[in-house]
Amino acid sequence: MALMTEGVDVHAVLQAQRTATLRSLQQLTRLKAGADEIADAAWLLVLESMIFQAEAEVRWLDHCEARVSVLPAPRATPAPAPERAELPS
Amino acid sequence: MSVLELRDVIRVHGDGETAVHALRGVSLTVDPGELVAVMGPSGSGKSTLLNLAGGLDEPTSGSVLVEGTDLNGLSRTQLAAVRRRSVGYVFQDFNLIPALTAAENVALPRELDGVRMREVRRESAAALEEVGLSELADRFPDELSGGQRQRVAIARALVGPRRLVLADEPTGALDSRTGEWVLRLLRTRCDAGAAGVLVTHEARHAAWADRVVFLRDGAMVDETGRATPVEALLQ
Repeated sequence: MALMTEGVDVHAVLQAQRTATLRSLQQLTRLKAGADEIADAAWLLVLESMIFQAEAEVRWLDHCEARVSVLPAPRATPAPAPERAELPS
Repeated sequence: MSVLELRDVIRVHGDGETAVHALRGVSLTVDPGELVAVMGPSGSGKSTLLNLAGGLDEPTSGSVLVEGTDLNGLSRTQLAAVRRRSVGYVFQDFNLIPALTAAENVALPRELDGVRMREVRRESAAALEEVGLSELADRFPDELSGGQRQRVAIARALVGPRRLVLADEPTGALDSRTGEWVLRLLRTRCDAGAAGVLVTHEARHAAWADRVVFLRDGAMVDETGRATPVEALLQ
């Protein structure tokens, strides 16, 4: 959506999302670090599923950035022509 | 006092039209007990930052302080002494000396520092115990698995009074489970009071850090801030 919206810095949007996802990944990792391998096995599987999803999102964001960086710079959109005054016929 | 401080560090390779701006005014502090991950695409300046932090390279301008000592202006001998006493490195390919046992590899920086042999042996044994490798102290690197070698490298990085560990893609040569083991160990060592800087391109590994900073084209573009304590997450 950022790519299709005029005047948006796509790299900044991607970075903001990457930072947010990393924060979430940090929280999930902290929860994982505090879990017991045996007693919390089911909880760990759920956490790891969420970790893999967050990691996949970061990879996708990296991929988006690589793809966006090879696109040509957007051309300045010409300003709309001023409405011409009706000429008397 | 911060264990590592980078103040407005600029590093330019070459000059004139061919000059490459590897770092553009980067500032970073790492406190005792803190693990900071550095992420960014290839060529973003991650390894340059690590080399400057460890005194392996000099900034074009700005300052690098390790445990309060400004590395600028130190003689080669003084710089080598700071590196031996304060800084430990963990590399992707372990960089252990094949002709030395695990215990001897860990002991080497302290021996070079002129510490007495009895003290060196005690410190080496303690460092190997901290990484859970006491029983393998007499093995040579080629008799150890990749994960065990990296644990030896971490023990060597933090032997004796060293408090700063700089890790450059330490899990790059390891499978995912062993890599996680290494990250858990780095985390534990930092929780015990060391300071760490971890360069990685793996988000899953960076997430073990207290803070993640992002480099792009030599500049720090963002950071996650300190991670929420786990107690707050479970409320």
